[in-house]
Amino acid sequence: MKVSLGFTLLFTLSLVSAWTLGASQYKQVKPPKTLPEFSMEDQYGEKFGLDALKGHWSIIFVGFTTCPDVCPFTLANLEAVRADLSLRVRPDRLPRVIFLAVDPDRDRAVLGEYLEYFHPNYIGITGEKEQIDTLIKGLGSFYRLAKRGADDMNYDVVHAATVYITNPQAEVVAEMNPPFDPVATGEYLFNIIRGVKFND
Amino acid sequence: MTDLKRYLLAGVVIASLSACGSGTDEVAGAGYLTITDAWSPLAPSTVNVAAGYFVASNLSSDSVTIVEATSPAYSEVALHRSFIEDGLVHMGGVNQISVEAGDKVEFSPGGLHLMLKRPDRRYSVGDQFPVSLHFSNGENVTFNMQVKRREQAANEATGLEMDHSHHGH
Repeated sequence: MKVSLGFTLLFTLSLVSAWTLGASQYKQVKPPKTLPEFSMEDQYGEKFGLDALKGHWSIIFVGFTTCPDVCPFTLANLEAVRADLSLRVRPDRLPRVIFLAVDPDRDRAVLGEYLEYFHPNYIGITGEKEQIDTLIKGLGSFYRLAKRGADDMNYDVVHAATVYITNPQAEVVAEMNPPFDPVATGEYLFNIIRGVKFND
Repeated sequence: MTDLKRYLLAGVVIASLSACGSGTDEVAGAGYLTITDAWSPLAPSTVNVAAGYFVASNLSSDSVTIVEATSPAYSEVALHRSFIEDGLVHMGGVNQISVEAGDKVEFSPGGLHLMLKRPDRRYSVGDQFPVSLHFSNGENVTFNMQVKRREQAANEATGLEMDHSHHGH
């Protein structure tokens, strides 16, 4: 009994040190950050505001649909993280992936099919610039449409690499940065969801 | 940038491991650059941009500079690079890429990639399309890119990794 307790403790300590080592990629937000009210639409045209974040864990990723390299790769990686987590947490605690599409002129029409490609359960939200900016500011995130002129439709979108974790009270509780190694990221999220407090 | 490269491990691993020889991947060489693992992730059907990845090895004794990429399958092809700077994801065109003799350059997710715009038709998994790289010395190399799902490419990488350890390379 004593031996097994010792082992458990040792095992736990080694896990804690593993999290500490990977600290720069993961950051708990303390105290949790309250988000402002906002009004956007999801990919089905349904209203999506602050209330829609409540009652679920969510992973919010800022991006745009005409991004061929980093956005699809991140979304695919987040799906691997979710798949890993789905074996470890109850379905109602599995975080949803929310793609905050910050380029509505190009994103709005294609958002549904774009997300279906990654996972049918992914949620995509976009809306008026003012509403996008409200949520971006609340998250402490950033994006910029790098337009070179009014009629430039080939512009790039510079956006934060960080993804934000919100709890069922719609508060930001953690930030994660690439690399999103599926196992390490799943482990971190698992502990965040279980309410483990650790220094990072 | 370094972090991003690591995060894109899957892509990089596929690239570097299959350079050891996967057997199924087509190899194109024109005496200047040898191209392996040329693939393009299946793009969401509504989006008319895609990425292209490959490994270009310079087995010649001269430095080779890639100045342009073209494809009959896409009306616009550009040499591109994604990178993270101050926590922001940027993407931009690259004028040219030099590969020293004996060296190689990897086009892989999150780093160098071909930006492919406006396909001539919708491409599906299993399809392939030709791409040409043009060099500053006037030469070029043409090879086929395979359209794959990202997870398919990642699984192949895992398989190759096991193969890799067995042969003790």
